[in-house]
Amino acid sequence: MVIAMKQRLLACCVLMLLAFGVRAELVIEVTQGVDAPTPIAVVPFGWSGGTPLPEDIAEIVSTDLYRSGFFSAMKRSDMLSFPQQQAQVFFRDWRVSGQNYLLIGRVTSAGGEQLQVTYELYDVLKETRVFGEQISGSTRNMRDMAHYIADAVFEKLTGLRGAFSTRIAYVTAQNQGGGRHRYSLQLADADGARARTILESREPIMSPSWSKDGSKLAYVSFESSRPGIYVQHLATGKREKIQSFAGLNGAPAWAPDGQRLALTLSKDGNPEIYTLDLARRQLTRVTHHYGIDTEPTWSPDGQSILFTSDRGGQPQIYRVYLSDRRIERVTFEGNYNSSGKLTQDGRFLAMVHRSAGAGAAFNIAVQDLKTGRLDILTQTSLDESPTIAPNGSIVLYATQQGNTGVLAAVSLDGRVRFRMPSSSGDVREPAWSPYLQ
Amino acid sequence: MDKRSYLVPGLLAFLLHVAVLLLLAGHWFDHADPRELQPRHIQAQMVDLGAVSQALEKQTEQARRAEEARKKDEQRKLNEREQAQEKQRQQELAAQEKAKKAAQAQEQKVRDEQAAKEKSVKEAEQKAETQRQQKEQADVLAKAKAAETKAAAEAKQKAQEQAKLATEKKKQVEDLAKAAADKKKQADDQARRAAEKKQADEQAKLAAEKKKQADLAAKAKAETEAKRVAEAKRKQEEQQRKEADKARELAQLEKELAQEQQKMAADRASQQLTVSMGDYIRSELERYWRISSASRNGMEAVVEIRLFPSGEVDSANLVLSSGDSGFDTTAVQAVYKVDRFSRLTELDPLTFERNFRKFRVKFRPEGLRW
Repeated sequence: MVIAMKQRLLACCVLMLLAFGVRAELVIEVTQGVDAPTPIAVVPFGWSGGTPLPEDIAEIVSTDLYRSGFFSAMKRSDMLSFPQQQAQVFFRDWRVSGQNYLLIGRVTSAGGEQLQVTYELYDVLKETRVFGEQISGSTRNMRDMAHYIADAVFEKLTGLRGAFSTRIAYVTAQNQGGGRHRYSLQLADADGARARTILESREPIMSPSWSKDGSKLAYVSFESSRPGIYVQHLATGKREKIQSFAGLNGAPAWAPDGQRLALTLSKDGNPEIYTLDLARRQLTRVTHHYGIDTEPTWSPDGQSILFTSDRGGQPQIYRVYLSDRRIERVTFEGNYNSSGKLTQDGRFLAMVHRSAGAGAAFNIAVQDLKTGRLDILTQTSLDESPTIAPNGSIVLYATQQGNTGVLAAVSLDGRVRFRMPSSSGDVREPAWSPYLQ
Repeated sequence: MDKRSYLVPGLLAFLLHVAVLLLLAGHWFDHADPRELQPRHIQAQMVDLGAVSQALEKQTEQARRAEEARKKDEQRKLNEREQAQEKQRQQELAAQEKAKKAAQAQEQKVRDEQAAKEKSVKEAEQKAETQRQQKEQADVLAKAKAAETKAAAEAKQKAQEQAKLATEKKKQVEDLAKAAADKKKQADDQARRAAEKKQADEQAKLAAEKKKQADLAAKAKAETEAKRVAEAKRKQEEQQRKEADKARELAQLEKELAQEQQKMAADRASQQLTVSMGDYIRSELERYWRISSASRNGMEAVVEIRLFPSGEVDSANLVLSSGDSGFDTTAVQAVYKVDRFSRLTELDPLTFERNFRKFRVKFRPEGLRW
């Protein structure tokens, strides 16, 4: 009897344990998804004024979102309606058309050139209003208003700060015949629009670099007898020549603290990496190697500098730690890696890459410094000078289209590629600004 | 006066009656003075009533003595037979156990009393018979006297009738004697039959007693045996009861185990179905989960999903953030993009309520570029 009771008790305990296991809450794990952007419909904003507006805000927002690589914008021709207010929204239509989000808005005149833009973002699947805002501006800065809206929507839906209101700087070269060229330092919106020249020279202009506050540009100009490093204040246009040693003076890069520049100088006979304290004008040599060390770029924490060097026999990217001058090689894949640029989080390194093997092209590649994985993002040849949007979503680079250099962009995951609006001349050396104040 | 009155007829009728009465009156009054009829011939025979009476007495006495002698002889024979029976009974009783002596003594006593009673009955019968005979004798004497008186009174005229009467009386006496003899014989037969019956009764009684003793012994033995059998049976029943209890306990345990096993089997089936539906839900979510460019391997967001029984999404709420709001948004969006897990309608309501009314989905991308 006692044995039977013990067996019974044991059986009950076992069954209870099993029952607990059975009754555990169901958790389903999803590890795969669709490698596709999120669909969004940006409906043309309503306008109650008589004369047409100079800019199509909805179109600018839609393009911005599409070029980010995160979104796929619905074509206007596919839209069943153009609601401007919530009462006019029929979520079912947008849901059937496969959209996740819907952005509507309307523009009203606030007197004179002043405008008021009201926009609202809706979650089609939840059939809820995500957020909305009313902003003011003038007809002259409608693009800024559009980029602002795109930034807001982007940040709301992706969690990343939008970089559509940033600027890009690049150099154009116009062949004036007779072997003469006219070089211009251009400043444009992130989408390439509203480009304007901030410097022109008959001598080459190279390696523009934004200060961390976005107020200054450093670049190399050959306008004097030898290359010099200049810093130009964008607001005032004031220029300042920082260094001009004999030999090579190039590739300035702003330190994150905005107080230093990393430079490539060959004043000691061999191109080496230096840092320059702008306040004290104190120059510090960082590298000491007979190979060529050039194209420095700062790590986000300012503790190290990545640079290109052929000390290994082939151009590769190395890292030098400023505290102890310790140097380590960063890239190993391919026989050519140069012009490295780090994302703001310091994890990804965009670079010009050439794979090993005959006939390989120069492409833009991204290497995950955490895992060492390298991905080639572009399929064109002769790609150069990569620069990364401050939110790390897009890599802008220069490439060749025929015999003309153009700007192109690719999302960091390689999903979206597009070309910037063509500018006159040969376009090269783009530099993406940081977030602007 | 009416000529047609009844006066005359009535008067005539009256006269007729009177005449008839007068004619008859003489007969009525002559009766008081009977006429003496003289027989034409009288052939009388003298009867000495005293001798007759003595003869009758003598006969009666002889009959009595003979009867007494016969009775004594019968009594002697009866006593001898009783003695023989008693002797035989004593021998039989001596063979019985001492335990029966008391009963035998009691029986003997009863028998003695019965014998005494029978004796007294016999004496009473003898006395009654004597009295009856005396009475009969007295009656005969009385009748004789009456007949003598009557004969004396009518001796002269009725000598022939008296003789006839005497003859009849003699015959009557003989008949009486014969009847008495028959009666006595009948009494003897009855006594004999009574004795035989008594003996048969005693034998039957003895047999019954013997049978009773045997029955008692058999009963005692049977009781002892029954007790032993009952004890054995009780022990056997106790053992059987214990075994039955044990078997019942075991059967109950096995039944419970079987029930639990059935429940476990049902749970396993439900679990398999749950797994199957979990795969279905996973596949549906993977169809609609758009992993953003900013997603990184190792990110993890947990979304709690509530469904209607139709499989339609009631709500999807983030319960564990990845730290990247964009990633979290894509996870929640994936759930709403599915909109309806239609295959969940295949589930029985209980399984749905237990597992799919509310559940969690962990979005954890793998195989991303980084």
